[in-house]
Amino acid sequence: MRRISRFSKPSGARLASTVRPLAPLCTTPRAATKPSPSPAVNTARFYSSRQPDQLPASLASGKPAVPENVEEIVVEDVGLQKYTPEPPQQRAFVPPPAPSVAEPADAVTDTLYTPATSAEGLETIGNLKSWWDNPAHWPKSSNFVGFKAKQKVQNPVLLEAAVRRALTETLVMKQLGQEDQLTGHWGLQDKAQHDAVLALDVRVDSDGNATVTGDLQAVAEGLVAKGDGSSVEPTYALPSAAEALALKEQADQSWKGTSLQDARLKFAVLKRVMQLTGQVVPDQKLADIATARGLIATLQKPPKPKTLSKEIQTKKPELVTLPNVAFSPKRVTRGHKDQALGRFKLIEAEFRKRDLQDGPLSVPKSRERQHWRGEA
Amino acid sequence: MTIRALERVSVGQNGIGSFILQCKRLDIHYCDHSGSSRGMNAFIKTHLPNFAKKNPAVEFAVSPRPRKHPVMIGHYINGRQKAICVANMEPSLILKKAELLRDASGDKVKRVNKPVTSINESETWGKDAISNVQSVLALDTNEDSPEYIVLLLPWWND
Repeated sequence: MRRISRFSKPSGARLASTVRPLAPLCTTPRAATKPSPSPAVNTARFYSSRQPDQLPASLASGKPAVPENVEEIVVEDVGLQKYTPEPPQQRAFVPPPAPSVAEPADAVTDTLYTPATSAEGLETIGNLKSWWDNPAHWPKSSNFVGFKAKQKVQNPVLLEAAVRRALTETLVMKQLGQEDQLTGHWGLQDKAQHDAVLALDVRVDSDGNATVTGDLQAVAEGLVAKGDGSSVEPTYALPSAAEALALKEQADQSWKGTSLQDARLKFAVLKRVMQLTGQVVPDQKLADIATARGLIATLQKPPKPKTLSKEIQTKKPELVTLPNVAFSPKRVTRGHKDQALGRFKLIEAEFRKRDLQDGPLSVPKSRERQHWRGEA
Repeated sequence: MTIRALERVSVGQNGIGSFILQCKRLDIHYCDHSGSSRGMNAFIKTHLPNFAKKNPAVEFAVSPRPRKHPVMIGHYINGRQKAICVANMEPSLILKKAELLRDASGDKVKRVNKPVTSINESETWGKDAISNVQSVLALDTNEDSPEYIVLLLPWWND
């Protein structure tokens, strides 16, 4: 069954003004009306080379070219609010000053003014040529600040401490009914608040539902207060490895059985872990994580080594230590072979003797790049 | 009483007093990303440690060769090289190829189509014999004495 009624083919000149976009999402929805007749014949855009005076009678009379069989477009009131873009908080650069033009010589009222006949002695005010090259015009305060931690934490004990903290904070928010804050930005707190979070008692029942007891309100206020656009620098993200180990030994491990089947809960925990540790769980592993224990196992799994040489250095060190095995992490080139034979320095010496080469034969990559760009 | 000839106890070969392995070095090249190197990478991790330990006389040089098929190159003491491409091979098969390179002499592959092969090089067909005869020919062209040449090369008249 056809859902959209068929439109007639465009023939001859057609006014673009009759093609109305659907109601924009950012504006207040309008009532169901027919499109208003557009008198803007002069500003219309034509798809053919015919002149406006050759318009069909229906268009020339100012009547909109809407086929009769087109149903009225009805936009339901879905409670959309008018969108007003926020003014930019901070510029990433310092813009050049607005240009000012000197008044013409005829309009100068100063009687002492005499027009210059040569450029000699005139003040030079410069131009905008090097404006964008000046680092002072690119303030560092406007640099992008990422959400996740800069240093990726790999220590398994620290990762477990981070998951515990993230889970406890999320459970606090959920328990207090502040579910809208689960997707919000939580600030990093000081050590006292961190310890207060870890001091909360997490009880897990047989279904994996967790309950937190303690001073929940203080923890929630600490989280939200510093996350609301305030410019407080992060003070304390994670304890030291020794402290985390001590905390792990003290705490009851039953909290690891907390279910993460609730998508909102899982998102909030992963977001917080990312902020604390810089660890991002890839999408394909998200579905497999059902409990906090699963999340810890996923995070603690060491990343796969990227190259075979790195893998051998970490997992098969006995191969590297064999006296008759030589491992090279990078491609062995002709230059390496020459160096191994002692031929390379002879070549360099001969070049130097003939004034053909100044410095080492090997050219850094940056030099080559300059050469390609025609800079050197 | 019959007279018996003395039997030869041994045939002097290779280093006569000791065995000298002809393969002195084995270059092993792999790629980190190409699928054709999967078997080679597994060979390096699983078989190479034992193989290198069992062959201390051979030097193993392992290095990556990005965007290329995996290759093993044997270097021999006669100065020659022998290379085998081991793309898409299983680690066990690559081990056999490594043994082949280790046991090879480094000589060019020769066709053997006679039932008996002499260990000793023929004197008549030796390089020195031919060069000597040519020099004598060059000396005797002016003297016009063909009988003398026939005496030098008796196998031509057989």
